[in-house]
Amino acid sequence: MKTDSYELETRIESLLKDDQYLDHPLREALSELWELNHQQWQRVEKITQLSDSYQSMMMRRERSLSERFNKQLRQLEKITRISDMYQKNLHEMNLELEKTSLEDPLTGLPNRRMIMRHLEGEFDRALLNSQQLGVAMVDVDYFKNVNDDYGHQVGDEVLISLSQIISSHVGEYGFCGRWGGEEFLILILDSNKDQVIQYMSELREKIALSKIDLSPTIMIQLSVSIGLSFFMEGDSSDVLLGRADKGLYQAKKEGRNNIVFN
Amino acid sequence: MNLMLNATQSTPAISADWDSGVLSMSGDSYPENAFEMYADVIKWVEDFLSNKESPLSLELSLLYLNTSSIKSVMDVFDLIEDAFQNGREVSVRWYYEESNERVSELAEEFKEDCSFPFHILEK
Repeated sequence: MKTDSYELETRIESLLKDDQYLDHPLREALSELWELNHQQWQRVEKITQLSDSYQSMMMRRERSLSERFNKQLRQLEKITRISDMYQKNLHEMNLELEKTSLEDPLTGLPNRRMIMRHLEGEFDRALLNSQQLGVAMVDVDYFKNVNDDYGHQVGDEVLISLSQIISSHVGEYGFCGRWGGEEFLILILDSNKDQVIQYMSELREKIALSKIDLSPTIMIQLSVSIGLSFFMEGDSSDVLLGRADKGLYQAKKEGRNNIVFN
Repeated sequence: MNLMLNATQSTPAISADWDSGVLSMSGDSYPENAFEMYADVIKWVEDFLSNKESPLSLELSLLYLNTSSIKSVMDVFDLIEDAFQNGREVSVRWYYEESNERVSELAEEFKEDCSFPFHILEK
């Protein structure tokens, strides 16, 4: 049976106060025990208090640690977000740079570097898979006269018009770009020699018949000379280009507005 | 006590003027030892804020920042924010070129959570 502690305390206190037990041999022992009990209770209370204050201190510390942790987490998220933005910007700028480094700014056609990249690729394919590859070097005849007669701005517009004619003619059977100055280079893919010659003859004719209308008063009619070469076993890309170049030289020498296969 | 660091390919030009209370940083920042480099800047800002009472202004024309530079710049802003909360007069002006709007978007990100005057201005 559980002892009722309150009742026990009241009984002991009244026994200790009662004068009739003043000389009782157990009274002194009970009184000391009672005193010791009190002291123990005070100690328990003190320990509880200390323990409580430790606990609340730890809780405060934990709260401040978690606040700091959350703050650092927020900071880390912000750094990551900003860093990602910088990386994205760099990536976009890289793409822009790459594009401008491979594109002719005047005509928007692939520039010489880009053509060379394509030529190397197509050249390897021709070499490995015995695919057919034709190269045409196209040069505008007497272009210097356009610049001299009308100025460079008109010359530029003429080049833009010609580049549009060439790229729409080349369409899907090849790849064209501005080689430099008034020279364009065309790669003709998967076509035999006769087809290559035919495509280029059509292009030469198309340009010769075009009247480039630049303003109410300026109408320019031009022609091109074309040097052609076709991939042969043992060629390097330089040799292939070299033959087209020689063909172009020959075409110029033979009076321009024509095609020489080499 | 002034601070003066010339720009290199990977570090911004930094100048801190004790008398006028102006700290300027401009250029790209992607050094290998960003924390080391910015430790001097942070120390200068701490010294200024604890030893002087005059206003502190930051004039920034920073372009590209690597991750540790971002962290360091945010640490500087944290110091400034604390000072501002304690009643100090502080401000940041971040300049960008019209041709490089991206810089202003990034500065906006930095500005978030800052309650002190933070202006993003076209040069």
